[in-house]
Amino acid sequence: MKPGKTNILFTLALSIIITTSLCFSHAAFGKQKPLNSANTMKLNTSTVKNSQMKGAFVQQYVPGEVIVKFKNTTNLQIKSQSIAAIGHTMLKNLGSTSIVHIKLKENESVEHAIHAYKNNPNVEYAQPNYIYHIFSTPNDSSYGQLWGLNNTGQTITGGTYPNNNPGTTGCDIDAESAWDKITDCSSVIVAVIDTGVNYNHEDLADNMWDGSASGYNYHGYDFVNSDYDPMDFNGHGTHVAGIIGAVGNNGKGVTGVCWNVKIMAVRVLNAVGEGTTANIVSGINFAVSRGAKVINMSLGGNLSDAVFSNAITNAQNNGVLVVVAAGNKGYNLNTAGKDSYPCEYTQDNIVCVAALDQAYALADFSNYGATGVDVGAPGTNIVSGYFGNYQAITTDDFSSGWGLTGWAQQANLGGFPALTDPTNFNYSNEYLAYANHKAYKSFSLSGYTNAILLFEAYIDIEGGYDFFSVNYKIGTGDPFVTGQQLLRISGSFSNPWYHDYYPFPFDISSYTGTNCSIGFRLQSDGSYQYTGVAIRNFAIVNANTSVTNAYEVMDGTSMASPYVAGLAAMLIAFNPDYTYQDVANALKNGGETVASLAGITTTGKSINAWGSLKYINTPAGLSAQQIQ
Amino acid sequence: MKKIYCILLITGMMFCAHACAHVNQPDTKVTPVKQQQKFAQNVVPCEYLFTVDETCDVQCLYSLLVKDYSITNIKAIGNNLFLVTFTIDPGMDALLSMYNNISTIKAIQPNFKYKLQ
Repeated sequence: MKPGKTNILFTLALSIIITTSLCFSHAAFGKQKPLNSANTMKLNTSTVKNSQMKGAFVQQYVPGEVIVKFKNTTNLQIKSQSIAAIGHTMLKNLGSTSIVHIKLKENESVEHAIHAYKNNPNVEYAQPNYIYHIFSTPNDSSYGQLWGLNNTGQTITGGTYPNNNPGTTGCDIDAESAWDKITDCSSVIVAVIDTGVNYNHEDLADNMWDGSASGYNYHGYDFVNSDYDPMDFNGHGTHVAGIIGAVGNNGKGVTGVCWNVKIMAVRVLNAVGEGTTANIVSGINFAVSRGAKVINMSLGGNLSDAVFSNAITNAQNNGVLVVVAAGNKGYNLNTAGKDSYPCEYTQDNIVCVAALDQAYALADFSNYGATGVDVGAPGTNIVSGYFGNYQAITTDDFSSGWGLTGWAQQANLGGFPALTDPTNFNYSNEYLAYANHKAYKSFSLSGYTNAILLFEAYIDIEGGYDFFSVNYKIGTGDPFVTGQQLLRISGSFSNPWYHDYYPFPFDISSYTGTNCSIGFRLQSDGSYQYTGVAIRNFAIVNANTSVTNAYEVMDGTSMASPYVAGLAAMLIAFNPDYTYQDVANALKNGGETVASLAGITTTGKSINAWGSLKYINTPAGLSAQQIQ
Repeated sequence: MKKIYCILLITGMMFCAHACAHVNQPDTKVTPVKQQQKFAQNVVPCEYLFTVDETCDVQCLYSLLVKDYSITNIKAIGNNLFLVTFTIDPGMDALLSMYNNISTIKAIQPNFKYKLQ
C-alpha cells in the first residue's frame, strides 16, 4: 500500500465514522478518551480550517515533543535517519517499535514538526504529545443535581417529572469530557428569546451580554413593554439562560453548558408566557443585528406563520443558528393537524429539539417527528436558575367589596370560598336565561411594576350562545363599560360530575401603580342553560425579582433546547470559523444514537458535547480507494 | 411558588382570547367550528402584520388603510413589516379582498399568539 493523500483521507474518513454507544458506555470507561479525530486531522490540514487547528492546539500538549507512528515496514535505521535528518532526538519507543516519542529542536513548534513528518513517506501519522488530566468538574453547589451534564444515576430532589428519577448513569450530554477542552464560550453571544432574563441572578450576572462596546448599555430589549429592561417576571427565560450559560465553577448554584458565555436577554413573552409574531420577529431581528450567533427559542405555536419564518430566514442569511423546542403536546409532528412552529419550518439553520428523560426515554410530553425534529436533549427534572419568587399582592375570598349582579359568594364550596353564577350554584342548578351578570371589585396595585391575576374556574355554559368574560380597567367601577377584555370564552370546559377547575393566569402589569378593577361576567341567551361558573383561589401576585439566588426544577422541550444552544455556542467558541451549517452538522452528526429517538427524529440522536467537539465535517468530494 | 408556576405552564393549553383594546368583542350567535376556534384562539384580535414595498413607510401605509378602517396604531417592526392595530377587527378575508390588488402591500397576516414550551 503506497502512501498518499487518498490513503490519508481514507484514514480520516474512518476516524470520523460516527460511533454509537449506550448511555453508560462512557461512564463505564471513565470517560477517558483519546483525541482520535484530532490525531489524523493534524496530517490533513487541508481539510480543516486554521481556527480549528488553533483550537485543537491550545495548551493541550507538551511543547517540544511529538509522537510519530512509523509504518510497520520501516526499519530502525530508516527511523533513526528520518528523525536525525530534521534535527530531532528519539526519546523512546512507546511499547511498540513503530511508535516513537521524539524531542524537537530547540524553539521548534509542534505544528512545524508535524508538518515535517507529514511529508515523510515512512510515517503513518504524527501528533502532539497530549496532556491528560482529571476531567473538569465545576464546584457549583448544585452540580450533583445536573443530570443532563453528568448523569450519575442521581435522584433529582424536588423532581416534577415522575418517570426515571433516578435515571441511568451516562445518559447525559457528556459535558465533562467537553469541558476538558473548553469551558469558555465568552466570544459567543447567545440570544434567549423568551420571557426575559433576571440579569441580576447570582449565577447569570457575570455572563450577561451588554452592548456597551457599541454604545448600547443594556442586556437586551423588552419587546413586550417596548423598553430597554428585559427583566424576567415569569422564570422561564431565566431557567433557559441558566442551562445555556449559568456561571460555571463559581461555587454557587448550577453551571451552564458553557461556563462563560454572553447571554442576550430578548423579552418577547409576557409574565404568563404569552407572546406574538410581532414581538418574536422583532426579537429575532434585534438579536441578529446585535451580533448573536445562536438564538434559543423555547416557544411555539401551532399555525404556520410566514412572517416568523421570514425572520428565521433573515437569521440564516446572517449566519445565525436558531435552536428551537419541539413542543410539549406529545404530538407526532408528521401527523396531519399536529403542528408545532417554528420547529416545523425547513430552513437549515434550525435545529429542533425533543426532550429526553433521565434514562434517555423520550419524555411523555415531548413532540417528535421524523422530518422536523432533529435531536434529543435532557428535558425533565432540569435544575436551573429562576427569576426570583412570587409574592401575593392580594388574595380574596369574595366576602366583601364585590359589586354583584347575579353572582354570589359561597363561603364553602367543596372546601373553598367561591364566587358563583348561579347564586345557588351546586354543580346541578342552572344559571338564568338572558343573563348579563357581573361581579367586579377594585384592587390597589400601587407600588408594583408587574402583576399577575390568578384564579381557578369551573365553566359549564352553552357553547356558542352563552359567554364567560373577564375584564379589567384602571381605577374603580364596572370594567365591562370601559375596560379591556382579558378573556371571553364559550362552551362547557368542566364536567359537573368531576368538578373540574382550570387555572387562569393573566398578565395585568400594564395596570400596576394604581387601582385596577377586575370583573367577571356571564351572558346567556334564551336557549339552553347549564350549571354555570364558579371562581375560586383568586389572587393577584407580584413577580419579585429582587431575589437573585432562586433555582427551580422544570420540565419541557423548553429545557432541552438550551442544552443544544449552549453546545452550539461551545462549538463556535472552539471553532470560530464554523458556519451555522458546520455547527448544525456537528450537533447532529456528533450526537449519540439513542433507541428512543430512532425513526422519530431526523438523526435518531441525542446531543453529545464531546462527540460534537471532535466531529470534523467530511471534506467535500471525499472518496476512498485502496492503493496497491 | 411552584404551584403558581405550574399554573403558568398549564395556561399554555388554555383558551384565552383578547379583544381589541378597550373594546369588547360583540356577541356572535354562531356555533363555533373547531378549526375556526383553533384559529381564533391563536391570533391577537384586531392586530395584523402588513409586509409592504420597501418604498412604503408608516405614513404611506396609514394613508392606504385609514380610508377603510379606524386604526389605533401602526408600528414598524423592521424589514418592511408593520404591525397594524384596528379599532374593530376587520378579519383576514376583508383585508385580503380590500388590499389584494394594491401592489404596495405585499402580504397581510394575523398577529399570531405563541406560548412558552
